[in-house]
Amino acid sequence: MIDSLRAHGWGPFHVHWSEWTGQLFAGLLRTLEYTAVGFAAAAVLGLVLALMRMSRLRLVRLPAAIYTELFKNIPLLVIVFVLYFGLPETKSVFGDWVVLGAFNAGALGLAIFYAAYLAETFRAALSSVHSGQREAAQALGIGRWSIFTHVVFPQALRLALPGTNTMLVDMLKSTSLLITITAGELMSVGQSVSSQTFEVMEVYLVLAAIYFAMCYPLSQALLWLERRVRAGAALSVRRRQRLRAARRLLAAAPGGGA
Amino acid sequence: MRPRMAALVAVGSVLLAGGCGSKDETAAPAAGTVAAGLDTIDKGVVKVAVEPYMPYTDVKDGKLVGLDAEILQEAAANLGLKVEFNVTDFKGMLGGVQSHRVDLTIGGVGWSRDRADKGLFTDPVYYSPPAMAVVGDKQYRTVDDLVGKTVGTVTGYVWEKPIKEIDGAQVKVYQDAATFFRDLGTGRLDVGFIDPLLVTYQAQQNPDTKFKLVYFTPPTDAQIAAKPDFKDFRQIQIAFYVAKEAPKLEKALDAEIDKMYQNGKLAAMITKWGGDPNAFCKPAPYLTSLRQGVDRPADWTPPTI
Repeated sequence: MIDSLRAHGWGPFHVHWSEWTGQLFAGLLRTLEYTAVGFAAAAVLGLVLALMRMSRLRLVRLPAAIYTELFKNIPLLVIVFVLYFGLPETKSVFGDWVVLGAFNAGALGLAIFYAAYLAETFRAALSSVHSGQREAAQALGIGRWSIFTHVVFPQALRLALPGTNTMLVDMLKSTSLLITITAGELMSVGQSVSSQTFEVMEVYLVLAAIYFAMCYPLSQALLWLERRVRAGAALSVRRRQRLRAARRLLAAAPGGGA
Repeated sequence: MRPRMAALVAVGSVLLAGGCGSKDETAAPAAGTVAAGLDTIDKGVVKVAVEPYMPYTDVKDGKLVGLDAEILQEAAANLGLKVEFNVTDFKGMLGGVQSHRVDLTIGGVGWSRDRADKGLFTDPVYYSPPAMAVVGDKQYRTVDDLVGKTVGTVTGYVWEKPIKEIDGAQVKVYQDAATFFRDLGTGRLDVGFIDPLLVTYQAQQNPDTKFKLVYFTPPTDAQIAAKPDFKDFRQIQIAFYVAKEAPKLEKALDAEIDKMYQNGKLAAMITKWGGDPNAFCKPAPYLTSLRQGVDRPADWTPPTI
């Protein structure tokens, strides 16, 4: 038995993993690409939807509500399939541009799906900012857009971060579904290894370890970000400069003054 | 409480008895017959895993149909075995044999060294010429014509490895043949590698299909020496993949298959399903030595008509 193990490769592993590291790394990079693009798009879309849902006008609230309810209640796999395989069936009506490439369809699918969830998170966070803040800002004569960017948004960010962090890590794992549209990400490479070596347990355990090695540091980093934001760290360059200037002034004031 | 418990127990025991009883519908074969001597999971029954893959295998009206199915049914009838099938996908088929959930799997399963390590292969039931599916009248003849193109196949097929070796080719691997053909149709794929009779069958069913079968010139020995994985671009021997735990079944099937080459039944089946017996029933020269010493004795030659 030892001979057969040795003949097979590294120690307890039956698969010659050294042959596959190039492909695995390429798959890993693609996974990260999908996550980055998908999340950026989802966050922007989610914010827009959240703001739409909080509008006074029914005409603006309704489409956002429909979108959110629709895409929260459909599986991601279905969305991805429709975008990649379903849309080309309408080529004769809409033209050739509906034939999306694997990357575009995958990133778009992820963005559409997660925007619905992020919209809910953002809406909750935005509503949780005390309305007194907005009234006080209005009383000070600050314009509507500035109220949003300088008063409401920074406070809502703190409240939105935990939910958003969960969604980001979840999206990274959901990229594995894109195997069905030939996305060439990490899971596809894993399946390729498994189907050529017929080692199922080992390959998928290794894959699980790789996903864990990606997601755990990410979620810990996001937790660190949450703690920093709650402690009042400045998030924009200008704010950081202002805080630094303020600290300098306070230190310089005679007797450590008010 | 009492009457309800009694009712529950009664219903439970009836279901249990019903479940246990259904296996004995076919009487076990008599002790002296061929079927009783074979090492199938259930005596007298051969369990096969298939995937929907016309014209090789499929299930219609509860019966197995297709080229590989007919070959198996002919062999099983001669051996006195009843065929039981379950439907899965390609990876499930191979996995089922390797984990001995089924006795064998059929349906365009090509011989490869890796698969032979984990299971037994019968003698080849036919030989599959290298061919590609393209849309329209595009001409691809050799490996060099594929440089820089988008090439696809289905996960787990023998072509998955070699297409990754083509210079500059963009590789797309699909979960099943249906999505593979879908993308070939929309133009996301330039060319795809799949079992040749699939395209012939589609053309029979749908005369104005846009898919065409292009026969591929196998790579030269020099090209294979440079890129060893290109060896799978040559003619492939298709066989039945039998579980390692059933060597007697495999030997019995070998005898039946060899008979079919000799008595012309195989050529008739191949012709019926759209293949040319001269391409499908004659092994290429390189195949003669491929399995000698691996899973066949040194003096074995592949069967031919």
